[in-house]
Amino acid sequence: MSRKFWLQPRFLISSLFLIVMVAGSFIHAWFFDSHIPQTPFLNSEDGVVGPPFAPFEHSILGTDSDGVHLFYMILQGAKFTILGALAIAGISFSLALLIGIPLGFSRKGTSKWAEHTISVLYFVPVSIIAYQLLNPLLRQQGPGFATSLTYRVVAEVLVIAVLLAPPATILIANLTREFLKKEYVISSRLIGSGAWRITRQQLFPYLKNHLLDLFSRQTIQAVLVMTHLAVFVVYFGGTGLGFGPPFPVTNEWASLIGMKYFTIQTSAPWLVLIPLIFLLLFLLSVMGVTGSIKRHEIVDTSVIEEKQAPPQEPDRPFERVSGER
Amino acid sequence: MKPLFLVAGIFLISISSLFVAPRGFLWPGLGAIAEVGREMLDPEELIYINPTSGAERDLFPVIFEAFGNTMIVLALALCISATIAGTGTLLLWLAPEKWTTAVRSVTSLLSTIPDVMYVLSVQLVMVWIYTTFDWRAIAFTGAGTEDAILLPALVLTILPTIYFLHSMLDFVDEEQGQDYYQLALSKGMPKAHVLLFHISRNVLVKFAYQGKFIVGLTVSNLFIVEYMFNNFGMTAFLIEYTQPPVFFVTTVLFFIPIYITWKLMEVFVFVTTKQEVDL
Repeated sequence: MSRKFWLQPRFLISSLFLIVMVAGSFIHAWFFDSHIPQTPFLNSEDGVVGPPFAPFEHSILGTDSDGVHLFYMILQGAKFTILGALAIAGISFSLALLIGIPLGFSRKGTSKWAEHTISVLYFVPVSIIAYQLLNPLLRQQGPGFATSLTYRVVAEVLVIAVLLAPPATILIANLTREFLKKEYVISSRLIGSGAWRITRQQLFPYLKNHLLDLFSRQTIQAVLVMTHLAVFVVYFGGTGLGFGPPFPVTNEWASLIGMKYFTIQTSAPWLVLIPLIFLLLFLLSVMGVTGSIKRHEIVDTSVIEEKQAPPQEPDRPFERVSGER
Repeated sequence: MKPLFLVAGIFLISISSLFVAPRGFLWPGLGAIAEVGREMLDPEELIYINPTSGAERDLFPVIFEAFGNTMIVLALALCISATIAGTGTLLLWLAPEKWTTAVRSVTSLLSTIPDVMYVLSVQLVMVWIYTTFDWRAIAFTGAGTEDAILLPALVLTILPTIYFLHSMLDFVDEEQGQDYYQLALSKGMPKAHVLLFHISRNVLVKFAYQGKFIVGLTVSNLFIVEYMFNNFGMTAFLIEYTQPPVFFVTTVLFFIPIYITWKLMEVFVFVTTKQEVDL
């Protein structure tokens, strides 16, 4: 990676957003014990004013109807949202690579029954299956949760990752199969390179852009499933029950949208809009990072090709130099 | 043969909730699974249990009402979106190329936004219109006896329209590089004629595959829309009354019309282009 790469404005802004949010969230957790301030009322010139306060009125992002400051909720949820979605994307991505590439190499291809069973996913959306699997686990029953927060988060990440893996696996298997039909691959296989060598030396460079696309798509899908679950009142890391409505124990952004959804019909629509904006910023940053890596790679390879361009057409070695094409 | 596998897959999904308990993942035992299978043998007897009141009701006549609501919304949304996307493609085809590029980048950006946002923003706009002009354009939530149909369908139209338009523009753009397009133009055929009678035929197979994916996506959006509009539809049976047999029956009911539509699409593609597709 050259210095020019690190200084791309798109890359800088996107990665800065991700790093600042995660770092801020961890600092908030370690040094301030994730404390969320609350303003139940405020003395002003016209007497006592009650929440909800609009953004910039009292605190920077406003408060909800109990006076809880939204900014700190967002800050606390940042690490769960960003790391959770990236973990889901990463795990399903690695599963897709580990299963998809051997599948593409194998001559038989996918067995018919597996393909048929997987195409159930066209009828039953992943969010509904995830809801089936996670609802009993994540919803608080009785005085407390039977499981620890770590257990719930890990289980949720794994379940969503496994559910998102099949389409990605099929995509990678198809790409690999297409790649193996290329002439230079066939010739290097004839010379005697093994599957591992071809994978490492030729398949990965070939797939690089597809893989970057796939990763950002998996992240988007992960956020989508998390938002859907939140709409169905299954919040990331667990749905707590208290005196009021069910609340997310982690304050993750998608869950905040799900929890505050009904406030759009009240006088405090910012409660749902602000988490939504942060979620969009997160997705845009992921796409910004992958997009800038992709663009950089394209620029790089073109430079190499220019340098090494031989005077003759390399793939037509037996053609007359001045012959007509 | 294929529908059997699909139904088996649906069965696997509907029993999946048996494997989870508040304490964690567990093995429910073959007895519990067999029990689900046995209950489904006589569907007439199936009941659903309301989780808040605990009341038990018969599943069967009432589910058809929910099914009708859901299917009308879905069919309406898909028809409208395919029409809008088709018209849009034709108009952009005749417009300068700069517009096409702009629309393609906008649609690719919009397709990354979680679909919840579209539902939210439409409802925000409706609420805003109601509070400022005191005019309720269309029923915007279902309430007991009356269900909102038109607005949910319109909201559901947004996402497939974006995807349909994006993939149509992509496919048409690919075809533009082909030789036959150049030939047709050089022979003096009008541009619209080439699109409607030649490119559309060549693109149909690819479009059928893409359509399957888009319908899958729309179905996932449909459940969200229905839930957020508080409509009485299939979502209620999938989300609130989650006994495995109820889930299974609901999903199979849902599966039948979509599967038949795909088979008809296969026949249609075969008749028009003489190409076999396997949807």
